[in-house]
Amino acid sequence: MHRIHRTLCLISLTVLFLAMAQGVWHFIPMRGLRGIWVMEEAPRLTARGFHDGSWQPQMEKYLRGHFGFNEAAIRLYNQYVFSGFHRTTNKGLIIGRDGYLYERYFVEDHYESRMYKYTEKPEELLAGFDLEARRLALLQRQLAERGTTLFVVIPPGKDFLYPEHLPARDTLTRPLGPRAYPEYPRLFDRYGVNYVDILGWFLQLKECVDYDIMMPLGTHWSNIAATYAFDSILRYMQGLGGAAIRPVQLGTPYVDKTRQPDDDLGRLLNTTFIPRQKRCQYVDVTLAPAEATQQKPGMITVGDSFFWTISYNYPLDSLFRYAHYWFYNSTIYFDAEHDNVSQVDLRQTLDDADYIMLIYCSGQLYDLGNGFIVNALLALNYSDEEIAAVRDSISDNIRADEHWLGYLREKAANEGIDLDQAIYNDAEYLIHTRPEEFFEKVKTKN
Amino acid sequence: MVFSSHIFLLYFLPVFLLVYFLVRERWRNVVLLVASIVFYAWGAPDFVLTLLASTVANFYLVRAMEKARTVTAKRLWCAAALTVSLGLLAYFKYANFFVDNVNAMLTALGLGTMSWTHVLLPIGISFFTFQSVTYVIDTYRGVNRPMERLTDYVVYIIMFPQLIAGPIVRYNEIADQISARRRLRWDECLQGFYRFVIGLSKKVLVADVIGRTVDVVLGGDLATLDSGTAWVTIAAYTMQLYFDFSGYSDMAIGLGRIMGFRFPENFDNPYISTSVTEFWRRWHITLGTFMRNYLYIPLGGNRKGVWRTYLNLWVVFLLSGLWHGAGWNFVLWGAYHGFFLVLERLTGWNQPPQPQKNKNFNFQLAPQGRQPQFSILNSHFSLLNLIKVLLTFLVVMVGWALFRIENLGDCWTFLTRLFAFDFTPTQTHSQFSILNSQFIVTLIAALCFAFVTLVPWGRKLQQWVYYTDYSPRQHIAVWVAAGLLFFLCVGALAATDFSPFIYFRF
Repeated sequence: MHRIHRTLCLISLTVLFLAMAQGVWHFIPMRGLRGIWVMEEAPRLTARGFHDGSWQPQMEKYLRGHFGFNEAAIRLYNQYVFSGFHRTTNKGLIIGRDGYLYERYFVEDHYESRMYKYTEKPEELLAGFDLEARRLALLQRQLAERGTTLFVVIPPGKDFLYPEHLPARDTLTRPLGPRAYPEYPRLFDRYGVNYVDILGWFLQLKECVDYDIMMPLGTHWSNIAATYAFDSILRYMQGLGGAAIRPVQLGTPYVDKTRQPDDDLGRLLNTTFIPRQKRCQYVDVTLAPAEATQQKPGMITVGDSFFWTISYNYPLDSLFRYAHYWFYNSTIYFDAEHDNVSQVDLRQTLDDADYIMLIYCSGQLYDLGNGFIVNALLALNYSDEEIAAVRDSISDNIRADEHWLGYLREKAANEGIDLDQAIYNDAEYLIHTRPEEFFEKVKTKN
Repeated sequence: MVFSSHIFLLYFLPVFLLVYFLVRERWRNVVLLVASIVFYAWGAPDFVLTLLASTVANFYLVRAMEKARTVTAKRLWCAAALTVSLGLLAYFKYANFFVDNVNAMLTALGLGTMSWTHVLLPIGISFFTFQSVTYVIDTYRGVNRPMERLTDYVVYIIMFPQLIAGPIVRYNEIADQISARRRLRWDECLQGFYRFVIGLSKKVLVADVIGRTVDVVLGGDLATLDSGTAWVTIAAYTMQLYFDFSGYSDMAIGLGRIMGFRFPENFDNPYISTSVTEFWRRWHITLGTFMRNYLYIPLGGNRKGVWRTYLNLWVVFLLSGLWHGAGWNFVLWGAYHGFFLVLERLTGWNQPPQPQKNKNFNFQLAPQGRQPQFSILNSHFSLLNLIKVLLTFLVVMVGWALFRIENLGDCWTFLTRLFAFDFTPTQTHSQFSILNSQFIVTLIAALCFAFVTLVPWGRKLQQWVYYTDYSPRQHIAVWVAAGLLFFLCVGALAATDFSPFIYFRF
């Protein structure tokens, strides 16, 4: 009896020390946690910091994220919460009915309770959509004159496609503003913008197709849905009369083990075991023989994460000369030379590309282009020097306005930047949000 | 530092235990002393020197009292020692309250205000002040001789397991254990570990979960609450407070046991009480004992007539309320309980339904297989008792509203919503907040556990969990379960960052 007591006590103590050692050396590989969170830096210990009590909470925060086996401990708790109460600690996730998971902002957008891009004045939001559509139409025309085809793709948002699995409203609803979808398709029709409403298409097909357009545990379109959709998009691109694209052939659907991103939200639960869902279907893509003279077009994709699913399933290198992916108009993927759009010569790139695809799902349409549209219009119509001159002129106006300057002084102090930088930032902001006020050639007609 | 933090659970505790186990017995108090200073300094570095200085001063004042030859001199030394302890408490805990009220009066009279820099409340001051008071008075009364060694005394006052939120250990209960406690026993360590994990789970998996929702509701617009939400919320807070505080006590008792100490129990199923009088024998037992021995009895207790007894009771509970916090809501809460205590004495409501409970009952000393006192199935129990339990619970629960909502206006609003009996769904954020499966299931589980000892099998379950000598196989099973719970709590603390101990502020 005494031996058992002693053994259990010593094992307990050893495990606690193992956890301490694991926190430092990570000698046992652990399955990392998914998602985004802020990892605290180890705070520097100073006598003053300890004495005024500011170091201790920082250290506790740091240890909370760095103790040994924290991944397994968090997964265990998440499993307890998910299995026991059908809840999640991931603040970005909502658990719907019948095992469906949703990203929070889709649900909030659907119920208009915490309107994404919420505004007290719906007419302002509508006017914003209208302006953006007109800018897009202008850009499309100007690019077409240079031989570049611009078009928009709207993949499905899960709230639109599967509203029947949404959880019941759990907050007060404030049905105040118009929603980007279906507002944008209406405006695109009005202003003649090229677009493919895949969401609308899938809404019609939803009851007819025998595959899942979006998986219960996924937030993106399923691999099979993305494959079928991009096949149609390729045909649409050809229909727009742009450069010819090598044809592809789609195989017979088959059931296989789940691949990314068909359970991406399930993985974000960070539970010990990923919840089960029905098995997914997949379809393989093969290339049709190429014609000897066929030139591969160059394509730039600006958009959200829905393009990843296309890139998993299509041999983009074989279809396009290049297929650079400007993720939210910021980070660049599939481009050996550039990592970020700030490094790119935009004017040159717009001239070189054959196709420019803006791909934004219904929930992301509020930020259509993420600034690409205005940047492209300015790049096509004005030189860097001309833009700089306007910026300087705006900066001078700011400096002449005592009230504005006072505001910027305060802002600069809060953000820890110098006043010139704050003035520059404000001037840049004005140029990119209200370019029509400063640049004649980007003005659009109602 | 708090028990339910990674720094304590995964760093401080293992290092402390390793050193504590490795050193020779005569060094263990020194290790405990150093660890306790680090533990306290982590959360209140500014105050640690004041704490140590007052403790050392008390030690020498009491020695001087012991050496005094005349009664008058003894009394003077005793008064000096009490002034040091209670003076610190008065300054740090009540000076702000006093000045604020004086200023309010001066303003009302149009006389301007006193300037005053607000004093920060040192963590745990109410608890260690009371411990030092027991030392001074017990020594004065000749119950115990004063400590021989300064380190032993400082250990008694600032021992980290019970430094912050009790149990309030009377000097005469622990004096022998500090100077010459038994050798470490592995079975005691294991039992202590189990007890600690039970406390940690009560805190992290029950109290914190319930507390998150309670905070949302009580942080919202109280005027728009429907009565259903208000009742659920106050029931939830009732459970949160119990599981939070008793969880902390379990952890303290468990840690003490690992180190070879036997701390007194602090809770004895308080919500199955049949009267408010009984409730106070089961809730925060060590505070009740302190109040009885060091306040109620010196005031005359029940020896000076009926009305004086009522007055004494009232005063004790007013002061008990004030001890919990320097605010009028706490004074009202104390008065509220005092009122019911007096009322029960007047009506005879507090008369026990069966043979008087042994006041010195201590769980650890209770013989195994002890018969449950309250059981639906045994002959002692009656429907009347069940009604009394529910009514007492109701009285206590409503009292917690005064305890929780510090602003008296808000408290009144909440109470009016509570008794409006308007159960029309309001579709408010508060109402939606309580429709949360984790909250609901946890609250129901908490209620079940709080009342489980009303039935015989619940009593047996409690006996088995807390006080049984397990067989080797049972030990392994319980150890695995405790380990999993510990790991689960550690994960919960990392996955959520809501874990304040309610009783720390007292």
